[in-house]
Amino acid sequence: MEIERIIETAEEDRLVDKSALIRKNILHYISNAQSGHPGSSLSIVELLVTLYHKEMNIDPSKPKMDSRDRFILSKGHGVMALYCVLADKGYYSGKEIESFRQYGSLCQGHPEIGLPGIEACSGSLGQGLSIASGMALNSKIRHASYRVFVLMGDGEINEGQIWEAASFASKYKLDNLVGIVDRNRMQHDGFCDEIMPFDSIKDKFESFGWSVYSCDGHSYRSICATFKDIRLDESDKPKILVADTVKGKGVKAYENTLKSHSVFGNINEDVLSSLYVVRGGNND
Amino acid sequence: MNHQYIDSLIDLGNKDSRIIAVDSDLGTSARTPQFKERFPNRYINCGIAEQNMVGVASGLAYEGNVPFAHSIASFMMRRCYDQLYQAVAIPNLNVIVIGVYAGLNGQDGNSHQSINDIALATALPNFTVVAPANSYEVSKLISQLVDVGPTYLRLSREHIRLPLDEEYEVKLGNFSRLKKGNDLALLSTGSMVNHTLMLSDKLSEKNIDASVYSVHTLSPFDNEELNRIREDTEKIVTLEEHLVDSGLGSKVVNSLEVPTRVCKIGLKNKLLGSAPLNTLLKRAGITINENLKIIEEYLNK
Repeated sequence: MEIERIIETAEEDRLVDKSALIRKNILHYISNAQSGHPGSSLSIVELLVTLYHKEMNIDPSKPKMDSRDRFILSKGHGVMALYCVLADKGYYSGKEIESFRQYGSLCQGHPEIGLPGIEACSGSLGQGLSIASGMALNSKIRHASYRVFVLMGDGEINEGQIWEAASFASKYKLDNLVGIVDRNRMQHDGFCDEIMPFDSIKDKFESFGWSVYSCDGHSYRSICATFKDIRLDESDKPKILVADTVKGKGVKAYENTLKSHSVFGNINEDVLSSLYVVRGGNND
Repeated sequence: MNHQYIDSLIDLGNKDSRIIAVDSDLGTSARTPQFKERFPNRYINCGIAEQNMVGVASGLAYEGNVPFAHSIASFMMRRCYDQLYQAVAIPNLNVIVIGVYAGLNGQDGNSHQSINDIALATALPNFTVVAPANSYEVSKLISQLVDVGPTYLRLSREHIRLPLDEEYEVKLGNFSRLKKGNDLALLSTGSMVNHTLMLSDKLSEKNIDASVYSVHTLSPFDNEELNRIREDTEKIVTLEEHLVDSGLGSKVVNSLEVPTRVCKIGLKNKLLGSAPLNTLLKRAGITINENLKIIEEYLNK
């Protein structure tokens, strides 16, 4: 079944090229720092590019404008993708990322406020949905109209606090809250299905009172169409988007591997040369 | 004290619309329903979910609100410690967390005791830690807590009243001197201040003249005043309803610039189980007679 063409081919090509650039930068800066989480960053590239280029109401020249949409990276170890997307968008110069994980850097190993565009500190998993709920709740209390997006990992949702927040968001009718699960099917020690099976994520969130959606997390057509459906959703429920992704996507030597989770030392040439341009989403 | 706390919070809420009260289904312990009645749009009950409550408070604080989050001290500090660290301490947010019924909780038993919360709170980065002695100190301190960043407010049980002859200065970060004496200094915090004043009266009857200080601010700690006290006397006694080796006593020992033999009165790290409060205090050695003996022995050495 053909997904309604939400974006033009030329625009899709532009975003595909942008993703390729972001992926190249992710590898460069992690290798430069000799430390980081490439796999978890590579799986969220299309999602972040869509949010910052198509979906969110933002202005890089006004990172604190009251009406902006907020984004929280709850799976904070995927931060290199966020640093690269924010720099490319113009929040700050890419030079800042050269000091990733070095003493005094604004580009800390996990997100911290202080760097323009970073809305919340994260790193300890399971907490971002609660923080995002607090931000979304604020807009209800203060009669503002921004949306809050929060990106979680599918291992991260093992944490009980995620489900505390899920109950909370439903009770307080946080219809301006959009949770996204990076469903790359892997966590630190192994495949999610081995470590802590969580099928079906959609059913679980639905039972907590959320409106549920899914998409191909590497296809701009699919992501954009789904975000449009989410925008048109008039229910008073919070929304969850389960995005099917691949850990390490875009780097053949990393795809679906545990070793892509964290690296120490330079990334070697074999891995770097396996970088390719992702065009067809999960069918690529 | 809890009753006065809520009056103070409501007062604050009247003056500052950024104040939001957040609860984890134990609000009646801190009387937060009264805040809800006054400000229905600025009261959020998160249910029995302390970790989420702290995260929600954090989100509200990132947006410029000043949330006061409530639970019983045992759960406020232990149940969501990593959340206090990640979501409040690291970003240095204006979130005030309140632990009520701190100390020996009595008949609820071991699960509800909170005798290590000062140790835990003072080990969090960026946290101000406050244990007011009475409702007067609460009313004076609360407005001083609003824009100082992460704060833990340790409240004890309600029935402690301080017979107040006159108002005294209560400044965040400084000791409050309640009584001046030349022979020794009694430094106490929170629920033990009342007990300490009674001790000083008994000491007076024996012609021992003690100063009494309420150390309501455990962090940041008033090192300057402590060392000034040490210049006046080398006899320093600390009293707390908390583990004796990781609260006020240990802070005093570590902060003295001159080697001093400090007499520390407090709780051992021992599970005492359920009992009426007075029984627990007795079992823990916190009685006027016991403490008098300890102090006299200390003075005679």
